[in-house]
Amino acid sequence: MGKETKFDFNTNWYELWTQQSKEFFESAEKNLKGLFTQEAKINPEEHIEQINKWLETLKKHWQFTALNEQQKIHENYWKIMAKMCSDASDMMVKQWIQRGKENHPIENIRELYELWLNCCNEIYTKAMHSKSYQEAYGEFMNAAMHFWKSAQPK
Amino acid sequence: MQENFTFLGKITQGLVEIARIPEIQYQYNPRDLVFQRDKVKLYHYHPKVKKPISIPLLVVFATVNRPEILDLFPEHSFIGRLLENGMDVYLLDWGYPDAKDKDISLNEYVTDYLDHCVRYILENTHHPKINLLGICQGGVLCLCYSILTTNIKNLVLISSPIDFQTKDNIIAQVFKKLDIDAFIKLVGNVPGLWLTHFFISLRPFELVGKKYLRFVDQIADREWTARFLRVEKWLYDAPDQTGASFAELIKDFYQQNKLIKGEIYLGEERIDLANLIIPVLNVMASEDEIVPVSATRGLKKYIRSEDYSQKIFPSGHIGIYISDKVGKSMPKAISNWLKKRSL
Repeated sequence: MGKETKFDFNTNWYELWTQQSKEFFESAEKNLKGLFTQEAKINPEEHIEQINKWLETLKKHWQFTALNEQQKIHENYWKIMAKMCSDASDMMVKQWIQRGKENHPIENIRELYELWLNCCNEIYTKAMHSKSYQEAYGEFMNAAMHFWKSAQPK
Repeated sequence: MQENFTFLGKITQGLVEIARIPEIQYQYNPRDLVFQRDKVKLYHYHPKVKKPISIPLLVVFATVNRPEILDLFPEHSFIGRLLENGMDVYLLDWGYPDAKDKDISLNEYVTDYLDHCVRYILENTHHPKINLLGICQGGVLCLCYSILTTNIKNLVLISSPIDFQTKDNIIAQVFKKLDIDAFIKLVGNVPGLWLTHFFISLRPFELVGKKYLRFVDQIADREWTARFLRVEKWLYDAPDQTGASFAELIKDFYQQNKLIKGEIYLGEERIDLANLIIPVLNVMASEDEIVPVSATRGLKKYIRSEDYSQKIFPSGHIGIYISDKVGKSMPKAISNWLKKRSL
């Protein structure tokens, strides 16, 4: 009580990245158990069920499900983010399979992580150039500002 | 799984390296602080050649980032190479505004602070005019100044937006409906870190994920890591923006595109681009996403300079100052252009 509400601009991006990359590695290790140790060159198509199950876990990281009334205005933004995550996941699986066919297979989780980042980057860059995401992002910023303004002590 | 273990180990090592950033000191080519007005400082660099061209060159960076990027690795920096190419270089440093500065407007930046720095150089070098090089939003300020005075002989602009509403200008699209008044009311001055986060949010997987992945991959290379950390220090060192100037930048420039409409006023003076008649070199970076080429290259059609040149270098908005690709060629091209027009 009585604590002043204010913006926190001190995001440490490296720590954030560390946390997210660790989550990726840990969930991949847990869900893709043994895939990379059993066979040097795995065929992802033969393990697609296991991979999809893992991807469902990954997608949850981009979902913002518990929106309160004030945060509902962000809904459109988070829906687009969730769609982007889903598209990036699909793209990753396609490219993973493709690389195997082109004799350039993914051989460990580190390589899979790099592929994941590349796919996210491609999808996000495309979205950033789209009117719908630009508008949603602008609205998201305005909503965040008005939220903080309303939360300030009178 | 050994590889995964090693990778996670490197991530932890990266944390230790990142924690060292506050200890890192900027380095500069030799220079003297020759003039100061409030927080704005003017530096004069020691010439690197026996006879630099006599007309001084004032370099003006944007207020939204620190000018240290221009001299980040002094042995092969943008400023270092201007000096090697015979330029007599001055640098304007806008400083770090604080709460007391929240009312400083673009008008004051141009007609007070920039003007005082130019006048200092004119009086101390006994030249009737100097050359002016403006970068990004600093270029917009220099452009306005060059229209309002007769103190400038040649104008060089790098990545300076003119038309703020071209289709591929992502920032303009996102800021289109930004409630800037509510934001300024909330924060006073716009925190530099907010701006940094905003720029990162335009390309987060490039500027966070992939960047840090390269960092941990190269972490054993001490020289590479030292360079990386210095750039990282600069990236998170963005000064706060005065509320008044930032509101003008967003409303008048990004949202209403008043510069090309001739509707910008600095004090009582209207900025009419058609009144720019001095020689202009307009430099752009082909992969610039902050100020796309489309925002810049239209300048020629709005001004009346008979001597207009433009050059596009293969780099990004910041890479243009630190990349090996254009590290030598851009300062050389600018110096050659200025030399021909400084006789």
